[in-house]
Amino acid sequence: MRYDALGEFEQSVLLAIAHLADRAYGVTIRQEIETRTGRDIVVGALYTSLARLERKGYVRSTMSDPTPQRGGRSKRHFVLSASGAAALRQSRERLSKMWEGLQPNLKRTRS
Amino acid sequence: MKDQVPRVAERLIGWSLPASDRTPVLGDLSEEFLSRIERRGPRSARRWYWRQVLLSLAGNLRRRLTESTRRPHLSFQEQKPSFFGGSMRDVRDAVRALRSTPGFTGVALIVLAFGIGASTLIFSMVDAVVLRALPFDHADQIVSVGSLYNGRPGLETAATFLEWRDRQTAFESLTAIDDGSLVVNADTKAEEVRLERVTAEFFSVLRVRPRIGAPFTADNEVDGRDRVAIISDGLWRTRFGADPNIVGKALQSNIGTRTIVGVMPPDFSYPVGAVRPTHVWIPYVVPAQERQRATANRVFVLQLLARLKPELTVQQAQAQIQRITDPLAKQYPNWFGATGIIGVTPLRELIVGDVRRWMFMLLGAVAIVLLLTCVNVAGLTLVRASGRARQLAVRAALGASRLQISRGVITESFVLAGLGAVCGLGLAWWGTGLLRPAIPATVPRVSSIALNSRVVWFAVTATVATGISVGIIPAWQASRASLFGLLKDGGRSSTAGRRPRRLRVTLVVAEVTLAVVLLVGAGLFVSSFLRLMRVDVGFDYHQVLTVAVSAPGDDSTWRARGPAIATDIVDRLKRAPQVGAAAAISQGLPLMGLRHRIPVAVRSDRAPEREPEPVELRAISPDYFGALRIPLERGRAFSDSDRADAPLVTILSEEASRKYFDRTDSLGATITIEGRDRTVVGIARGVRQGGPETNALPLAYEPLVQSPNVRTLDLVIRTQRDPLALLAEVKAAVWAVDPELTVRSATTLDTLFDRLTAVRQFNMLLVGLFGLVSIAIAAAGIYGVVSLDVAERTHEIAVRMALGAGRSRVVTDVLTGVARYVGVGLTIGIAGAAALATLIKAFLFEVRPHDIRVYALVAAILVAAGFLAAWLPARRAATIDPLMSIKN
Repeated sequence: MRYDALGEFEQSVLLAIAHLADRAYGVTIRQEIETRTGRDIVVGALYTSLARLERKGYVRSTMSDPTPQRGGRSKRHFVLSASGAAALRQSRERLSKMWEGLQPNLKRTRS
Repeated sequence: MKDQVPRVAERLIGWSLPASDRTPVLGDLSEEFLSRIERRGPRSARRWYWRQVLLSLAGNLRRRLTESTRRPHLSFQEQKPSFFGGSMRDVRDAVRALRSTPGFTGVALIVLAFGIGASTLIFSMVDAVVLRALPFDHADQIVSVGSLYNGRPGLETAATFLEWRDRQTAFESLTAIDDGSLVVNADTKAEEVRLERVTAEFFSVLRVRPRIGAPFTADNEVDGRDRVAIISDGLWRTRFGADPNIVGKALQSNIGTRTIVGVMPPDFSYPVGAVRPTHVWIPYVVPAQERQRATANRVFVLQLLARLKPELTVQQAQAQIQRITDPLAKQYPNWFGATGIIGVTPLRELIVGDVRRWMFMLLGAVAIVLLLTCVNVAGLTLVRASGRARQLAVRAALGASRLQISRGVITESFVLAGLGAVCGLGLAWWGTGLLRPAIPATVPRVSSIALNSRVVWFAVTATVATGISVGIIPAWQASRASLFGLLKDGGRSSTAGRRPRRLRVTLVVAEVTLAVVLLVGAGLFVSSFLRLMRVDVGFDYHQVLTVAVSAPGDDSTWRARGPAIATDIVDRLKRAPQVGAAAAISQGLPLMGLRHRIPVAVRSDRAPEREPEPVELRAISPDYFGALRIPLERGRAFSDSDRADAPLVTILSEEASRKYFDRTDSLGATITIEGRDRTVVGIARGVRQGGPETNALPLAYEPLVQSPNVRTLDLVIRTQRDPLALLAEVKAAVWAVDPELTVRSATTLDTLFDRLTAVRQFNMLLVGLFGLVSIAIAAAGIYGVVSLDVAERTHEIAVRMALGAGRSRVVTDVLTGVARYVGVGLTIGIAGAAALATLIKAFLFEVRPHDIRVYALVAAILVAAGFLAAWLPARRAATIDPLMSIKN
């Protein structure tokens, strides 16, 4: 089975969800990516990406009960789907194949 | 409340989000907002929140629009039936519908962008020139005071100013302004700038203060204590490097050294919005001799400005000043205007009065353009609606109410108008850059034309009006569409019924009418301008460079040396290779208007005895007539032998000769000019001193070397090349005679002439442009309607052709139909134009507002354009294949 190629940001989002397991929702996903990569993420971009991933079937979401510190609003929880995990693995494989034979400084290991 | 999320930002992002994401995203944001307040404080949290919102907006909106189109539509009955509910969806639908007909949308956008852009642009001009208040505190209290000449306060004498200042009580203060120029830094970087001599009250009348230093005081108005100056912000920056310690420094100029006591604020300019702003203000000291009312001191040079007391009206102030003046006017009748009436006119009126009617005329013209674009787009919408009639019918069949359908149509027209406005504003913004330099120099406050908030408000209003007027008719029609009629017959229904067609035709007739009105206006302005160009001003102004030469020192030294200097310079210039002819004139160039009127007495047995009458007097060098190609009717020109010690001679213009000698020959007669007897040796052709729109007034010439009053000196140099390219050589010739001389105001007589005709040229270009565009728009309208007509009648035409109608018959039929409504539009338009033309009578030159030739030409142009627009669809009708059409 072949999956749509994932963009770098999409991969980050999926990996963050995987890290967070059942605690993944907007705020935590953002924080996870920010603390790990130092990237500043805009909420609109995150949800645009999440919507796309959900449409492709890579993540599933459920609404939780409202909480007071959120102004009485519910959270949307995300979990990685099986095909999402497979798509991530495929991306990693493709990339590592491209990295094969190169050192991190992009010098060739041996020819 | 500091720990509340920013409401506006929350609203904004909530609105931009797709409904499904609204709750979780707002929740996420507020959760993180609260945690940020704890960690970093409320300010940082708010900043973060706004940043998130602003950076997310564009993406959210894009997603919201695309996602909603992906989702299947709810049926119409599930919608609330309110007129404004669900407006976002209407907008989305409208955008989609417009994108599905790119041809229509493109044409409509171009037309609307032009209509809204042009009217916004013209409004921005009218706003800046006429409507905006003057940039002074309580500017409506500032008035100009003086004897009425041509309905406006004129310049006054120093004696009158002093009298009024002492005795008036209607004004808080009254100031005198004497306009002039000076040359700053009489060294290598010498520069001539505008100068105003003002009394101390100048600052209280206008309620301005220097931004650095202090205004003048009454103490400065005494001889000896007046060696001070206040400079403009511009001069302060360019000449003094914005030196903060400027007060006390010296200002070197051709009127001596003065101490700088102040710098005016950067936005201050008087005269208001002048093309050539004032850079130096110095105290006006009333010359001792001008305090007396003696004939020699009757010099009208002062503009008087005053600030009304707040409790008084202009009329009350006028009455008061009139009361003071009446006894004076009786005693010294020559010192006041012919009527003895003193005018008190608000300054704004004085500045704007002349151009107000003109500006409103242009605004009216552009309003017609906007109306025409609205009618045109409404017509296009109707044409397009006929193609979408089935779509609307299907909607109606699915349960959409009439209200909902017409709301959709109205929304479309608003979206269209909105997009048109955006393009139009862009067009207007670009246009101001083009317009500003094109506006004649006589128009005040041009420098302040800009797209400010008032102008944008105007554009928004125009857009809303456009949206309504474009959409209302199609919406009304869409709501009346008969379901049954549209759906039966598979939508191939032959003709769209009588009513819609009549509506479309009515709109085209309206377009033709409006186009005729604009074209007649354009035609009248064009023919005015052409006539103006054909006026013979009495001399050849092409290819002539002019410069003014002045010398340091006062009038008396110039009077003594002027003639010799002029002769020297002209001799040198004549030897320069590129110079065709050169001459000098004192007391004012032709086209500069009246400058130097002097009473002339005629003493001749041939002429009737009469009182001295004023004549314009000019002192010229011998080659003046040759250089300007002014024909001599009789007698001779001046020659080198007319030296200072030779018998005194003069040359009269035809008008002067006729005036003093009636029909008898003036040649050889003796007249007295300024107490000296001169023999008339020649009669020269008359010259229109004030330009092509003025009459040639009596003019007398005397040789420069025989003239006692050479106060100014202008050189005229004719060349075959670009006149301004000659400037360096001219300067060299002048400085070879005397390096202390100043050369200034270099220009060409062509430029002076253009300046005098600029208003008419501007009218012609602007209204001409409107006319051209209007005819294109009307032609497009005709084309659209006829095309649709032909398309709808395909079946009918095919049947007729099958029954034996020839192709030429079909073409003739279509064209006859067009001719009918073009004819109706033309008739109404010409009637309307004839009515409106009387309103622009004042702006025409030697063209009657009902000039039959203009109307005939307009009619011919419109018929031709209508014919062209109808020709293509008519041809299409003729190529219909009867068999195919009937089978289909």
